[in-house]
Amino acid sequence: MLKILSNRIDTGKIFQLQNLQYNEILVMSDTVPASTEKPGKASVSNLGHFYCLFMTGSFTTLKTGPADDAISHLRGLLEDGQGKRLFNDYAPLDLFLTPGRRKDAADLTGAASNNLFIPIPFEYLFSANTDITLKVKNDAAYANSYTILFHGIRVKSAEADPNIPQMRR
Amino acid sequence: MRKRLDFSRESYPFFFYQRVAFLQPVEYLFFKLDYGYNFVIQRIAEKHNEGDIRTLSPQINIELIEAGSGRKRQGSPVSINLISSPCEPGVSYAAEAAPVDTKGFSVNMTATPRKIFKALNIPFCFADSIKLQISGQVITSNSNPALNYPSYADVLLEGRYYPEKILPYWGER
Repeated sequence: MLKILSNRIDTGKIFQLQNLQYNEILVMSDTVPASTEKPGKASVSNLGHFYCLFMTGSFTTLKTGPADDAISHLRGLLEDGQGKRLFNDYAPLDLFLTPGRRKDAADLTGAASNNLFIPIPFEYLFSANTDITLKVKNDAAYANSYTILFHGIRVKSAEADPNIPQMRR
Repeated sequence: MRKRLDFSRESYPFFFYQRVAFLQPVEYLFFKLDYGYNFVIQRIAEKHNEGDIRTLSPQINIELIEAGSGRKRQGSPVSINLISSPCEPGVSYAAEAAPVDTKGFSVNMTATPRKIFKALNIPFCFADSIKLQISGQVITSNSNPALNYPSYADVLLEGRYYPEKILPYWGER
């Protein structure tokens, strides 16, 4: 506390920095129909690049009935905007997402995981004007949904960076 | 602080996922690294099935080996709990009709949550493969295969690729 009081708070500089780089959460949410594969997308707009720091997510575990059988039916493969794979294969969502399983209105007897907030570190720069893509396969004969949050920093200042080829004019 | 960006040679996160079927007590997984990139394992998420009896706790031991040289990173296989936080074991499950991903042996596991973890930071050199030896207790005496354990182990290696910048192949020294 004393340290804070001993330093002058330069509001001008802080506001300038906050306007150029600020915390942002990109949401990817989708429903995958029964026994199909569907790519989910989260758009990184042309506002600036998105420097992802970590991710959290949840998904439903429904089977025909519909009934919540607590089984992880979804597998996903993450790609960046240039189509570069960030996973080698389709990984079950329960292995890389926390808190994970969530309750769905289709079967309220199911239990959510009630896990603590344990974000999975995923430090990666997604370039502006692209889509973060997660190709998801649903092994169940009933539609399942998922939501993934990419927590990170919007880097608006990068727009003016001459070192970034795609932003040159 | 101004961050310089290099889209082609910046380090980036990469997740390796593989499933192994326990046909014998010791099985091996191979993760081939991209040429020109070193890889640092930060976390290992492992999940195996326990039949329908959750009170049984099979011992899963793993060992990391550099496939090229055969160098072992540990003296002997150790329990997964000793080097990373394992996922809570799941219960094996036969998939519904017409699964879209038969590569997973059409078997899914319970969606038990992940636990908190510490980063490992185990580096592996480029042009190598990560060899992961997994050993566990195998019980195959049950007439119902779903009750045998552990039938499968899901392994997710989470880490980062770091570009090798002094490769002689790049013409740099």
